[in-house]
Amino acid sequence: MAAVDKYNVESAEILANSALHLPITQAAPIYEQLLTIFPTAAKYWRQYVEAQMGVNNDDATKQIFSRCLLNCLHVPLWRCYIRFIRKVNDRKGVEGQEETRKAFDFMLSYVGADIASGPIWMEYIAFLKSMLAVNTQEETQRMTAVRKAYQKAIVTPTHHIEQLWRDYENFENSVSRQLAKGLLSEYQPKYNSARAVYRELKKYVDEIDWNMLAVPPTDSCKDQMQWVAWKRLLAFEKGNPQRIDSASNKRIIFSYEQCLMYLYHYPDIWYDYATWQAKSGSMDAAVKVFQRALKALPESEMLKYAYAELEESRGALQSAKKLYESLLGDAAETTALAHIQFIRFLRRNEGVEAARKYFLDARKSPSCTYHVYVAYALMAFCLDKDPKVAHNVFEAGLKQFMHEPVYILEYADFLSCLNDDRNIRALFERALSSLPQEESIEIWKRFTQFEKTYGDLASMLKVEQRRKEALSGTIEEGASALETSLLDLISRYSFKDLWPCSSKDLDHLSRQEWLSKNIGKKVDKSALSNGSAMTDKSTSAPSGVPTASLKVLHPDTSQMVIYDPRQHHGTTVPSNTTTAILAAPNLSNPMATVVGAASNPLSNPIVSMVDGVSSKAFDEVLKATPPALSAFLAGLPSIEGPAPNVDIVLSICLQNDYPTVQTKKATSLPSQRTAGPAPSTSDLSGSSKSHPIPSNSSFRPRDRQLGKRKDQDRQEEEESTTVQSQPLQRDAFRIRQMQKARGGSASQTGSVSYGSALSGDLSGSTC
Amino acid sequence: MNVYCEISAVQDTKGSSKSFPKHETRHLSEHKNIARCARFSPDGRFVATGSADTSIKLFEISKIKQMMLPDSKEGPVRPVIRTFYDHVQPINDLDFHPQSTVLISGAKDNTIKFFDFSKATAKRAFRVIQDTHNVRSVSFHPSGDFLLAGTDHPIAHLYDVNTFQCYLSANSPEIGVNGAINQVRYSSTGGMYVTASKDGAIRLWDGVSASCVRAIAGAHGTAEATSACFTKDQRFVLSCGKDSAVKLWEIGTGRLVKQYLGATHTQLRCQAVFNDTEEFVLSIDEPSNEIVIWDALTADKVAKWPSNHIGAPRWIEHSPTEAAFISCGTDRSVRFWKENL
Repeated sequence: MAAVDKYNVESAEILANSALHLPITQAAPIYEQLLTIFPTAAKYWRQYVEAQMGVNNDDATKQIFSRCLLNCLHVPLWRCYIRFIRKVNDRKGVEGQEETRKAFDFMLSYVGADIASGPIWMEYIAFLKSMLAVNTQEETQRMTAVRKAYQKAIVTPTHHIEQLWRDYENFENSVSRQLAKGLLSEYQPKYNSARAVYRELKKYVDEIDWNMLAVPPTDSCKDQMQWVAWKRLLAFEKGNPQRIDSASNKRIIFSYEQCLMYLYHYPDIWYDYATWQAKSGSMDAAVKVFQRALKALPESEMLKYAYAELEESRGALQSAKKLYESLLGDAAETTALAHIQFIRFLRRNEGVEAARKYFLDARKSPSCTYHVYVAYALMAFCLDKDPKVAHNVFEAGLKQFMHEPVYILEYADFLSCLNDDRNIRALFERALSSLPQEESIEIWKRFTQFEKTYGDLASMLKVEQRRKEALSGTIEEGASALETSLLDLISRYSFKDLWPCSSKDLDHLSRQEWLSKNIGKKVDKSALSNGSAMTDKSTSAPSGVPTASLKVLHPDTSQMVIYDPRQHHGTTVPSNTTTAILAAPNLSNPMATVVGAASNPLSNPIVSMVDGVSSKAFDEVLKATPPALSAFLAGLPSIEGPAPNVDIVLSICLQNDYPTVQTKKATSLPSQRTAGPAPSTSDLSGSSKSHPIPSNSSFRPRDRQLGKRKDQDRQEEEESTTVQSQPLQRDAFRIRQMQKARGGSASQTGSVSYGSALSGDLSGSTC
Repeated sequence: MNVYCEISAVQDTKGSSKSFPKHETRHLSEHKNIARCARFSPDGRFVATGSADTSIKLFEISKIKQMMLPDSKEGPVRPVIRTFYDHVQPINDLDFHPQSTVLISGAKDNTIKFFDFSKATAKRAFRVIQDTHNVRSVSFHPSGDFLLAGTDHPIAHLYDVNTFQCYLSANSPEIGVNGAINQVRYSSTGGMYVTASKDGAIRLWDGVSASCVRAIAGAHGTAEATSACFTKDQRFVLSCGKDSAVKLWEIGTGRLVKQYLGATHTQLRCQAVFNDTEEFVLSIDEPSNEIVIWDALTADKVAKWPSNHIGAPRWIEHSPTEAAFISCGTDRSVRFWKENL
């Protein structure tokens, strides 16, 4: 965490801003602190140095400049510097002028290639023009200097290149019209090329955020874009767009240096820079880059190895050796690798003996893992061609690393290189007898592979069988794994990329295997309908999906906030719904059943499907009717024929006191009430169970979960009120009529009653 | 198992753009107002459409195919097997429960309604969630126990389907006033979800904690992001925006991986979708009223077909299981497209 906070850009900006308003004595420590974290942040350096200049603290200013200038090729910072130099040398006459000129040259040699360096070129030229010239000789000298400066400036792609060219034209014309023509026509093509390059270059430069602070690489989009932008710029410069031999390398170095100001923590840039230096012939420069890189990223092993490689390749063995030694840290994994690489280095450069000696030392170190043994043994075997030493090393290591399956496998590989099948078998048996089951999977795999290549058919089959028996407990498929499947045969009779079947067969088989595994699971737990739905789904789904559906991640609502302004579902029924009275208790049913149970059985459909108790509860609910409806139905007298007296019905309605939503909540589950007195409703729910749906024969009801079924059931009752008598849902008489008709016919000819009520067909006619 | 994986890896190596097979198309049905959205069931057996006329139609794919046969003997086949009327405002989005026969709909009337289509006669919802905002998009969690609602509110609403409790992300980033969610979609495991917002951003959220794990601000500039969906392997997100761009993002890095160019869509809430094998991307070119198809890998345009709608289609949705898709038009009609065999 600390490392992340350290490079917090926002807090750095706040800190820098606060320092602006503080007196220098207080601000200086803040700047120092900022600049240790962001040593290439030119804007902070500039702010710091300007603060010092503001109080005319010349010594401190000089010191700061000496610390930052060479690492920060930043035009505004350098302009600060020249301002300072000019101020200091202002009143020193000719000597001062000479100092200033030197400073200008110094600056232009560093940042003269910057695309924003136009103003400093202009300032330089203006300065040259302003130099005192007492005699004609000096005047000629001055003119030559100005001309030289112009000629350099107009071949540098900067923002002000066009203006500089115009200035140069004026200058030459003011000196001598005749000479001007020749000179200008000589420089025109160079200028044109520089201007073309400038236009190209500007595209790359505009992509770069020149205000960015150098922070360690993150995965953020912006960081990546910046990295890409810099890479593009560097590639552009490397292409030597101006076709100038002498200046090209300088420009590339300049671009790398600037890039590293911003991508200071990117090892790849450091590495690129160093290898580019090495490739272009300047080994010393490459070494310096690596040294700076290690200062910037002292933790980077990669850079250390890269540096050591460079040193080794140019023969600087002592320096390489030091680097290897510095890699031997505290962390076991790092150190093991460092041991190995150091042994290899010694073997390469100092011979077998040195490597052996070092290995013997490294063995004793606590950070010596089995890797070191394997690496050394393989080195002895492959490089020194000494199988005996290698064997001894492996044997010695085995005492210590018997519990490492990877070590066993490496040893087995080595033995198979020797064709020593007796020892390999012995090794496998030894390892399998000591390793725990879950760690021996790979060993078993290799053992069967080994028998495939070395053994006869009997031993091959035997090992495979033993493997299955040994691993049956660990692998998910359990019992089914014990059966010999066609896939095993395929794996026995395939060789490299040749298979005894087509890829389609293989695809098919593995999918079948997966299915059989899953069907086995589902059938244990749930109704068949669900299982068949599963098969439907997975056979039709493209490959890859079934495996994904195995590991569904559930939201953890404890990590979230409850959204409050939500309305209660008692009130969720829209006011325009004509069935509001009946629907309200329906919708509040989940409240009664769900909220009541502390450990909500509906939250996990699989659990509730498995659970026999809850499925009984489901049957109960199946018969549930809204209390208002059941009470009403119970109160109705039995009637003959299709037309009861409306007045009687109305009087019943008026007399009875039907439970409202509120009273219903207080009562227990409505199912207990409805069991007896409402035969017509239970008939109705009975019909919903069998649920034929005749006219849509191809439509199979898919698996229904408990929660859903409850809801469906509830809805069933709602339907009865809504479907056929669409505009008259409140017409209690018609409701009852319809239910009677349905209840009567559901026993044998449910299809008929359904057919007449089929809304799907009705709506179908509208299309 | 290992053997199988190796083979599929080999098959993955691809050369130049593939050609998208020819499709035949058929007018399926007509709503009484603009057809606004469509969704296939996860098993590809059903498709539902929602309309500005507040109705939802449910089609059975096998019947559609039967209807499209040249010589259907048994008279006209009606592919619409259910029609649901329960909303009072236009339907915005639909989704199917991953396991059971439940269809949900989000509408402008601030509600999410649950319909059970196993019942032949049900026209009305059996459960209703009353939200506080215009529900623009809905997406079921793969378990079916939760659903996400993308509304005018900048943060997706997570509902527990069993308790109707609504949850919000506890630590969501600052999102400006224009953060209404145009689309929300779960990934295949529910480990993540993605939102496409009016502010042009694509945001990725952790499916478990609901915290925002990555915000691609300005994924579509300042134009609205209109659709976003995951690839099946959850490594990429395909997004579409009113800047006429269709983009593929790598989730791990937030990097723009592919851009599918050449379709203009600046007016409607345009969709960009994968085909069933994720080899192709489909979207709509509004000015020419065409359906545009790209090779997903090479990003080359491989087909451009007249939509056969009057006016540009409003929505396009591909079957998850076979070479068939559906388009919904401002001309109120619904068209089905399937590969010419």
